[in-house]
Amino acid sequence: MTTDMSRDGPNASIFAEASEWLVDFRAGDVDAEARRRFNAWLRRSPEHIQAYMEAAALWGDIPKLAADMEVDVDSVVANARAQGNITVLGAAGVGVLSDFTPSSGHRYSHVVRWPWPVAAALAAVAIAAGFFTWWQLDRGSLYATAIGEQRSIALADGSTMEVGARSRVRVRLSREGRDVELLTGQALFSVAKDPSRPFVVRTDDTRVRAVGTQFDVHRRSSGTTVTVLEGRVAVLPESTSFVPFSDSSPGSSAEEDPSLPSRADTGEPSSGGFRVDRLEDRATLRGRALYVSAGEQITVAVSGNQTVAGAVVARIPSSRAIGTSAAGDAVWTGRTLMFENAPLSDVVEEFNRYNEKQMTLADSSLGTLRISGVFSANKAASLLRFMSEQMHLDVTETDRRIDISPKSSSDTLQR
Amino acid sequence: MQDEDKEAVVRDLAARHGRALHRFLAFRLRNALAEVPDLVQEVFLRFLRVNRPDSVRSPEAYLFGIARHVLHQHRSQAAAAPATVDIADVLSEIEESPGSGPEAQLEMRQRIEDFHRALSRMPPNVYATLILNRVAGLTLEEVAERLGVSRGMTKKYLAAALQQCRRCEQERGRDAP
Repeated sequence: MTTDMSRDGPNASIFAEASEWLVDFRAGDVDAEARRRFNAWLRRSPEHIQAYMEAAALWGDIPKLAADMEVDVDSVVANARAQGNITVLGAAGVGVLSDFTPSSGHRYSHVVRWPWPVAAALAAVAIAAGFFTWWQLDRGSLYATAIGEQRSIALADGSTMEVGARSRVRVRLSREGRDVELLTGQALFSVAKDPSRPFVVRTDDTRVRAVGTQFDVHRRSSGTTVTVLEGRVAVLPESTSFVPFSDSSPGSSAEEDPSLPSRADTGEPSSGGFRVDRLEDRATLRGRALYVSAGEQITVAVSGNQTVAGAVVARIPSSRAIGTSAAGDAVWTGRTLMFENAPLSDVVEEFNRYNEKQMTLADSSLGTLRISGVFSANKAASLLRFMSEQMHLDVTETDRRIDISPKSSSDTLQR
Repeated sequence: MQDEDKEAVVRDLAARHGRALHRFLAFRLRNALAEVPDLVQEVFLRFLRVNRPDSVRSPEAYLFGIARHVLHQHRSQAAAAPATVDIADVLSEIEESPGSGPEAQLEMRQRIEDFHRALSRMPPNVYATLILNRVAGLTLEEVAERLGVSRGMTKKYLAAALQQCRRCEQERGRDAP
């Protein structure tokens, strides 16, 4: 190799060794013996140290260098697996994720051209499936998970998010702010502190603003649940009909009004349709925002068309502070679903995020039944047994689906 | 004991200021500014002085911690500043110098180009492993399963990907006048 030491730093073979060590460390594959060998390796020369630090810095920068990439996991996998037995034409297609339309004049939209050997004259099979596209930076990156899939994603600002099964999250990082859109599903955010760039998570009905904290956002058809594990977040319901306690006009006062929580406790549904069932401790109302602190949870529920019908702040018992809540939020990263008096419709929705075989409630009234218990997310069997034996429901399982219906009358008679 | 204390301190520093610090030091390493000509040398010498290196749990954080310390000392001496240099001042400087300004932005743009060029040269499996693990956040086990290769192989792919990225950054360095 034509490596110029003075300019390029450590030579390629030292860097190669450094890369291997780094990957070993990141993979958690370094035991005491390997650690001794690594230290001996580092002590060989300043170049070894430099190579390792360079490798580490490069490794850490990759998410940032790739910040404007959109990755479709399935396509990347399909593509890698296809190598060897399919000849691919040079400019394989550019993929467009279905809900993205390329905006005109985007700065970054280059096509990935695969470097694979092209059997030039052959009219070979071109894979039409696209791989990924770069979009304009401010369109952000989309992360999507399949049923039962979970991902941990490090964002360029140092924050991380754990994206739950069957979820889609779009992330836009800019100098002004950090904007995350939860399109479906659930994500747990650990936000790196950066007061100059608020971290805002949005769903249709809710915005959650944080500076440096850890919280979970779960979007369901029935509403959005925010669970705070650490720090404090501001929750701003988005609906125009959300007019909490109308005499505090939005943004009129930056001060906390100590009278509000007690009013909230007795709060009747206002004409705007807003109601707070329980508002405890440090969760206070300020302007339109509800502040939710560590160990607390709020659900902004939607009823009717766009009316925010109710908001509940419940304090999670401290003995279970890390990890549980009424509908299993924040315990899901362990793939355990915990329900406490949760409506069956929510439970079914949850399970369907983890299992290919989808559950269906034959009768929507079944959805209001309440259920408590701890279940393994990707093993429906215990839940099905529970429904069948404890709730006396009829569970019919086929290869493709699971139907849940009320017990037929003959079954009831046999009991 | 003492080593562990020291390690705890530097690891704490690295944990709190890790990213900015890595960027900063990486920038210094790449550009070898006259200000800190012997940063690596100094880090090396200090690392040799560690009595029980095997007790260092995170060598990476440790090295960057030492480097930060060297820089910090160098700066307080150079500025003939009072002994109490506030870490916040140093950090605000760190945040400013490599992260913003036209020069740094150009550098970042070039590095993104280098990165994409490196990606385009990677064999499909190497490319897929890097993207799935580092960008999409899949674990090595998940990547191995999806690609139908062994976990050990995904590690080789990742190391190869890093080397390709570095080669492309060096290419630009050589092309430059």
